[in-house]
Amino acid sequence: MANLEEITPPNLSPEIVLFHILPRLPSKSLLRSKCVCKQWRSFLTSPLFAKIHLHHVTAVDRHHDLKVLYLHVWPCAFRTIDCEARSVSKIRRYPFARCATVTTSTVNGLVCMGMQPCPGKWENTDEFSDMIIWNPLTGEYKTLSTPIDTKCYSNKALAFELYYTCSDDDYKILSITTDRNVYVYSLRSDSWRKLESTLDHEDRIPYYAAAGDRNLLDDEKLHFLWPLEINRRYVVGRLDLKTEKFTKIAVPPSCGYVRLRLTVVRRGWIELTIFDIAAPLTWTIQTWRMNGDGSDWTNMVNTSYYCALSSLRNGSLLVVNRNGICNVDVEKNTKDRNFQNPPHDLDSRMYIETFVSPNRFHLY
Amino acid sequence: MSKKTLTLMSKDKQLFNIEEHLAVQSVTIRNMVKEDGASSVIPLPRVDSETLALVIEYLNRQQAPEEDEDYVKKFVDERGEIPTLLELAQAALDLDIKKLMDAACMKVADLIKDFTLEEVREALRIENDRTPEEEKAIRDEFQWAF
Repeated sequence: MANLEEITPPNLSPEIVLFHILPRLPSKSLLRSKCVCKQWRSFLTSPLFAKIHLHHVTAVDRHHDLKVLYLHVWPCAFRTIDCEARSVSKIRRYPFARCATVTTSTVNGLVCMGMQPCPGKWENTDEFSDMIIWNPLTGEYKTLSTPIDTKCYSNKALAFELYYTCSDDDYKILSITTDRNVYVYSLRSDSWRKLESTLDHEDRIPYYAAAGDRNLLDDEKLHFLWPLEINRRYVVGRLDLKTEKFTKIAVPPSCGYVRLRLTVVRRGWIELTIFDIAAPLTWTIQTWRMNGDGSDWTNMVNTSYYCALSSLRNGSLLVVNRNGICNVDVEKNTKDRNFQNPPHDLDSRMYIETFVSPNRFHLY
Repeated sequence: MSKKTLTLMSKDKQLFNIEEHLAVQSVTIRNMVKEDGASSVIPLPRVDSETLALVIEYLNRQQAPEEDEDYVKKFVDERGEIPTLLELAQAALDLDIKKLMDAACMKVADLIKDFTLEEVREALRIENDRTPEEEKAIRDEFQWAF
């Protein structure tokens, strides 16, 4: 057996450690590892490392160490819940001196939030003072440039989706205003652009957006739940980001639902959670999977849990019920032990820890 | 007809024989074979004989494809010493044997993830070139991670 003395530096290339071992460390170890030496510090803060690490944590074929964190947001502080290790982080303050009002969406470890100016003072206003894209792991954040249309920052703008597009390696935000105008913010150019929307004025506004696959948006399509009429009926709609056209693609299976949520869009699959309040005092959740064009719906699981949070990579479903968070095995329809009291804010988001910098296109 | 055999030579000039169809799981060797037929000895100047013996043991495995994943995991688990694993990972990287490299790196990451800074430096033979002030600055910024 070789001992330490026998490893001679020329035998071990820095490549093996930097490119292949470091990206496999848990995020907490990586933050600590910045102290190891100067080379590690500069590598761990580089865009190259962020890219390699992101590839590791999102790769479909990895079986190990999937970290799905539950971002629990308060006006001035936040914590995360590691749904797999079943641990809750310490409460941490935001690095910015403002209050977050709404967490709109997350992708690749970045979180898009609507802000209001006064720290420590909670006011319910209709408009965000500004919006930020923030990485809760590294603490880096970026305040977005002011939109051309102030209605973009109205918290009544129902669709607000942060997503990533592979083709131009950019992070974008889609915003649909109450006037049915559609805007796209690009992080790369830090600017807003109006889309030639094909939304009809008769149409209600699509909402509950769900970006794909947490999140490589290969086919550049965003999916929505689209209210059809007043009577709680919805259709699944999609915005093709290349042609910039909205289409209604499929009506979900009929039932007496009160609330729906698109939980996750995977390659070729769209998962839809339906909260059914048909029987008094009992909530049931149906989870359906739809293939790409909506011609085929499969009922995956029916449970009496509060809310499905996300599909985990092993195929189980993460749900919140009255007693806590637990995993449901979709195939066997069994659940494991609950942990933690349920967070009351059902709008908290699933999130993965990455080193992607919101300032990656702009040196600060 | 007997199967074609290749000869690999380690850094310390030891020779190892391996059947060609097994050796070409290494993309590096496959390319060498394609280019010049590799009739003679293939020198591997960065791999020592102990590590090469391990690599050959891995390449010679007789596993059904569906058990391969478990096999490679067990294979690296049984060699749980960091120096050995680093050598193995490096050899697998040089020889382009992806599964073996992934498993060896994963195992190293697993072993060092809860190490103290000093233990990490010692295990990976890294010199501490940080001043205590610099270290404190990082500690203060990411206090919750320590």
